[in-house]
Amino acid sequence: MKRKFLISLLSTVGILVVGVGVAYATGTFKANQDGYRQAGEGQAARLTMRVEAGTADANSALVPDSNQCGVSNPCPGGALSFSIANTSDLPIRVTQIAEATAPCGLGGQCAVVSSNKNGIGTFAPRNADGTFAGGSGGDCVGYLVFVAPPNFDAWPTIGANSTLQVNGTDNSQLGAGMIHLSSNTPSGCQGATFNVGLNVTATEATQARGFPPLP
Amino acid sequence: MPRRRRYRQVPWALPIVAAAVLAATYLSARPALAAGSFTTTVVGSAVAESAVMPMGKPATATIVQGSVGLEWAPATYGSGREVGGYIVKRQVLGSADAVQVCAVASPLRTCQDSPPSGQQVIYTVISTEQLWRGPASPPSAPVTMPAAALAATTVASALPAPSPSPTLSATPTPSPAVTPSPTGTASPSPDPTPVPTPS
Repeated sequence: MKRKFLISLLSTVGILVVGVGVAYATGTFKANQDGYRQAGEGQAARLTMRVEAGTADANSALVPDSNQCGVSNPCPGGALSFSIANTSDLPIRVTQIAEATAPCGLGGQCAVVSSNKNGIGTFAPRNADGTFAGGSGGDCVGYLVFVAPPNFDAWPTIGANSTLQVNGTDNSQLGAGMIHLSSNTPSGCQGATFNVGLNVTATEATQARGFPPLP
Repeated sequence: MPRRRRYRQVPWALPIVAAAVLAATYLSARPALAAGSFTTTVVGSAVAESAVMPMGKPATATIVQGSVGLEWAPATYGSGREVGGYIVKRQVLGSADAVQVCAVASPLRTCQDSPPSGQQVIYTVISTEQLWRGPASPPSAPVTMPAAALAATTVASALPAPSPSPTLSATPTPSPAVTPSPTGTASPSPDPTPVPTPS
């Protein structure tokens, strides 16, 4: 009797150890698949997308923020225009947008931004290849403030091989208020074009959260 | 069933229950693992263009109670939003100098001015947004503040309290003021010459 009970106990422990081991191994394997998905029939489907600048809105309302703006009455700012092309075979959802940075100075990080105008109204000189001679172009870029969306609840699922246009003009006004100009922006920065580097993070959307995927 | 036989079955129930618990846990956790397991971050760029201040709309100038009342239509961006404020400048007709007579925040689009009397003046409206300034509007129709109206304003403002009966009438200031002009035509009258009288 005691021997049978011992065998049973050992079997239980064995099942638990094997089960936990399998679960751990599976989780680790999945975690290492960042950006990839093991699709059926042994084919690997990569989770890819492309973020590109859109067309600047000539009727933009991007003006310097008022001094009266605050937490309760935020300044509207302006919209960033860009597109997120889902080039994978899986639907994705945007989960984070941050300002891209690059090393600068002595171990510092600077935002990847540029402007084509100076505060005195002159245009920044360009190199032969179209890049700005001074790196970030005109000094109007110094008055630029990037504001990331507080959440992405209103951002729709981007269907497989579909593109989401972000320019602040859709019903959800995606992209609106993502860029601001400080209240002391010089008058010469009127009509300036700003380029902002973005780090866009998206995740596989396994289920739509109230929004159907884009066609 | 004898009690001894049931007791023998208990040890085999342990592995079965453990396997069932494991299977249930794994199956319930599987969707959670799948959702959001695959994440990617890419670097891209976005673009934005700042607005251009619209030209102010010309003001309508009206002489009201000894001052010039000004009002104008809203100036809006391409998006339809009204500008943050306005500056109004006065200019004597024919002169290049302009003086700021008022600055208001939208949606206010009126102001008053008391220009010097007897001069034709025009007004221009400039849209503003913090430090930004737009191009000046076309000039308003020229207006001339009559001297009498200005004097009436002066008299009225000098009164300690409003009178119930309009007994005080505005006395026009003599204009132009008579100033003695030194004329060089006046010749000294000749000295009286004694007329000889017959004695």
